This record gives sequence, C-alpha cells and structure tokens, in this order.
Amino acid sequence: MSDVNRPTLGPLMSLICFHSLRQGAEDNAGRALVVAAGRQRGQELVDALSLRGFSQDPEAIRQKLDAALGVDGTRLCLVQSVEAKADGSYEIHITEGACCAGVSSDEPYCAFTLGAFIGAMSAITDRRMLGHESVCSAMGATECVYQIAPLD
Amino acid sequence: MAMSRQDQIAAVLDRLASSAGNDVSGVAAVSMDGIVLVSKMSADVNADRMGAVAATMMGVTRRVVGELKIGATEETIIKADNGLFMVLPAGDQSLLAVNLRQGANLGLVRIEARDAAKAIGLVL
Repeated sequence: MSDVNRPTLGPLMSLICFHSLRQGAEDNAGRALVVAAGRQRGQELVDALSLRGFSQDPEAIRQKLDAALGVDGTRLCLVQSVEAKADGSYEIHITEGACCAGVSSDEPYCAFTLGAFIGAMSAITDRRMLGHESVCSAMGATECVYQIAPLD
Repeated sequence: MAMSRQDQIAAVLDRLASSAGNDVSGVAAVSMDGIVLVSKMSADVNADRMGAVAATMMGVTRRVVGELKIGATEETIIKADNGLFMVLPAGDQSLLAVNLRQGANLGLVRIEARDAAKAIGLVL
C-alpha cells in the first residue's frame, strides 16, 4: 500500500466513506466481518513494523502503535496508553477512534479498531487473544478502552 | 488441577470428532467475533481465516433469518462437491464449526454437533 497511485488525493479518505463501508458490511454480514478485518490489519501492521516478539514494554508498544496509527500514521486513532496486567492481558486506551467518530450508541461500538488492537497484541505476544470494549466514546465517554486477554 | 476452558473445549471437540468417526475431518470452536478458541482442523486449513469465515457465515445467516422472519438461527451449512461445512451457535459467546467429508451422515453429525455446541456453551 506504500504506492497508492493517488497523486492528488494521497493515502487518506473521509470518515464518511469509512463509516458507510463499516456499517454496510455489518448490516449485511455481521460484526465479525469487521472485527476480522481489523484483526488482519493489526497483524499486518505488526509484521510491517517487525514487532513480532517485540519488547513487552507497554510504553514502547504504545509509541510504535501510535506512530503507525495516530496523527503521523493512518489516523485510525490516538493510542493514549497500553497497560500490561499480571495475568498477561492488556488494557488499551485510545481517543479519536475512527469507529466511533460522530457516532452515538447505547452499546460499545468499536469493531474495526478493537479488532486491530486484538490482532496487533496477538501478533506482538504470539498468543491467541480475545478482546472486548469496556468503555466507548460512542456512549459518551472521553475515550475508548479495550480489554485484550490471552485465552486461558 | 482444574482443566482450563481451552482444555474443556478441546475435550468436547475430541469427543465430537471421535463419535462422528470418519465423517468429520475437522472441528473448531470460534468466538462470535471470529477468533478461534480451539481448532482441531486439519493442518492444511488456515484456522484464523476459517474462524473469521465461520463467524461471518453465522452473521450472514442471522441476517437472512431476520429478514425472512423465520425464527432463531439453528445452523448454517455449505455443501460443496467434496464436503460440507457446518456452523452452529454454541451458547451466546461462541460458535462450533464442523468440516464434514463428502458422503458424511449429515443427520448423525448434526445431532452430535448440537450436543457438542451445547457443551461448549456451558464452558464459556
């Protein structure tokens, strides 16, 4: 994707189109399709950044992911913190996530972004991970929080 | 020492594969988001991809069922000329995916698979 062949428009597009794609896919095929796409993106990102087996230092992981996904990257979100817990799980705080930009929901709404972090953390740690969103800005919070934990 | 959830699910999948005999070539438990919890698929199957596809199959099926107003989804089956692929809900949190060989006794496997799905649902 490094050569996007868009000399005028460049590599970025509007959230309006992103939301249409996400909503259309989810309406017709369910949320799993969107989460799976995010997971694949997260794994590919880790490969592109050569982060497989990377330092388990959460702040180093945060910096790498924020550089790739944040204001100087693809602008999926701003990665505010990555916290490693004793049981091998991670709590990730993001703001300005693309999934819930301009969205109001009565339940957690991130799917692609959540999937991206599940895929990324699975690839970094080389462990199969499950994830859910415990706080979502689409529900009025100031940030989105993902709980990503290894299977057993 | 108590068995982990993964071990318990693996035991359920092993029982299903064993009771179905030669009819089943692979089984897996998958989260509703398409993440493989335990896979007993053959080595030539990309388990990650299969999990995502199985969960998407269930998502599409649920939308079809909803649009047609024909009740609750019980299972979805794809038949190809060299086998079948079946996905059914396993509780609220997961799915059971079953790969059947060509000529399998579908009726028998469906009964066994429903029991296995129920058992997986109780683990999670």
